[in-house]
Amino acid sequence: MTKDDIKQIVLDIIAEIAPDEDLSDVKPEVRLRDQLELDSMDFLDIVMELRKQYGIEVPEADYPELASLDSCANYLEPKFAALGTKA
Amino acid sequence: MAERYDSIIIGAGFAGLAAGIRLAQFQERVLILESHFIPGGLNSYYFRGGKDKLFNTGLHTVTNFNAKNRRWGFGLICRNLGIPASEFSLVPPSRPSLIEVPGAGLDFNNDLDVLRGSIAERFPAEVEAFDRFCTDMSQLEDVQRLYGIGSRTWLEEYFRDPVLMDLLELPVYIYGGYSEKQIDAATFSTVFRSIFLEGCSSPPDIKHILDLLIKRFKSLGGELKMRKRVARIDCEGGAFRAVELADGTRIEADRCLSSAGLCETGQLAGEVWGRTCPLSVFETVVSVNAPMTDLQADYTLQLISEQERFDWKAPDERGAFDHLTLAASAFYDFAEEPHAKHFKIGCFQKGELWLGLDEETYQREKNHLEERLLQVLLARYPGLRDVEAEHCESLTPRTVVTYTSHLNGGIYGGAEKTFDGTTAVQDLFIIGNDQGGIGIMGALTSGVVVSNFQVILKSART
Repeated sequence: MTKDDIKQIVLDIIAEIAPDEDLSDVKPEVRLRDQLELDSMDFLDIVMELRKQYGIEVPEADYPELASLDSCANYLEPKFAALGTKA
Repeated sequence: MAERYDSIIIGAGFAGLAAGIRLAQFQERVLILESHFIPGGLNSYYFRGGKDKLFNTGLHTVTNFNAKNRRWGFGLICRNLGIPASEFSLVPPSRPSLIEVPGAGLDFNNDLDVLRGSIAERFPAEVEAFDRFCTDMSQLEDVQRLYGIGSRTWLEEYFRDPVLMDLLELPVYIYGGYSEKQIDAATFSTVFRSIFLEGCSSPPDIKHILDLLIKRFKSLGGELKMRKRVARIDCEGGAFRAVELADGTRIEADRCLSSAGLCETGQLAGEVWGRTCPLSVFETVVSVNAPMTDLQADYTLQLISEQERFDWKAPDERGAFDHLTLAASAFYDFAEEPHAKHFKIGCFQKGELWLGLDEETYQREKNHLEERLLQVLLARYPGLRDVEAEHCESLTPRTVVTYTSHLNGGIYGGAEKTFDGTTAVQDLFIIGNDQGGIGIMGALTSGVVVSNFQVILKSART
């Protein structure tokens, strides 16, 4: 799974959680909170969807790693890779 | 060993089911306990004369219809519960509604311009104030201040005409006047916005939404147990430990969210909390089978005060009434004309006056008030005069006590609210009416918000 795939996965989850947000121009390097109307509940929901859809656990201490699409991709890449080796 | 859950929820009404769904998205073991054999609590349903003859209790007017923003109203509910808006099958009213006090009336529907036009006609000098009021309402600056003042104090900051203020207060109090005399301006603004700025709607029937919520809850692994009455809440060292059912079963959990009411939950926990509200309801429903075109209803809802000056309290005498709510439940934009059309008329009663009566007195008083309300209903919906009623029956404060366990048959919960949902006992929370959740949308919101802020976000931080 490439970093771009992971960014798309995160965007797809955000699209489900926040269907009213325009996601066509999300800048990967900018904090999601600074360009979208996301609150702390939204981030919890993102974490929950990652767990539900992909079995990926994000511990509370790591939440700051989900700040931007780039940081999401960097942080989640080894986790998705680990899933692949298990399968 | 006692069973153990992450969360126990008392009551399978709208607040309890919403909390259950929200928590079951994050937790493994969530249990809802309902004492009755049908869900819904105050907004429930029953059958009379066959499986296809369903009656709803309450008004079943769902507010915040056009609030699609995911942080508020209907949008917040759909997003948090993970249920698409379309599945609620809500439709707007097909007729305007009426607010009336002696000598003056206003029309409203889901288009704010109808109410505005009605105000412009009757109170031309107040239109500018009304516009300002509505603008401020959608961007409240100091909500904390509004919790501390009464609604009339707030309205007087905008309006001058007491008759107009009576007219604006009446529907909000009928919808959620949880305390006699004055309710707080913050709750007033929430309800006003929910009804007038965001609009009303109706599901085909209450069962439709309850079934939808239960299906969603169960799909997330939640457990719902019916006919399980909580008899005691067990606390230890100031924290929640377990509930004990009427049959003696003990069930442990990390936390409990109760929709039983603040006073009532306190009683279960051996504490004295809150203050009861004497306001209960008497409601008569008439079911007819005539085609809609024969029924000629001008209004979907009619909210009426017979008082010269609006003074929110239940009459001191049993059977007297000052405020009336009439509803033509079929007059919404349903795709198919409902087979049976239900017309309702309700008035507010002091609950205690209807409790503890001997059976003969109870029946006599019930029949007497029912007859008087039916006369008003026929005068207000004259189309009903020429059709035969298929069914007619009344709900009294005693009925409310039976199905909700709320003291005095209170329909707005107690006179004191715990707006953040917390209680003096750790891990024991209040949802529903007594957290300030008003109406169906308010109850759903209450279940979601208390779960989010008191449970989910807090667990994430620990």
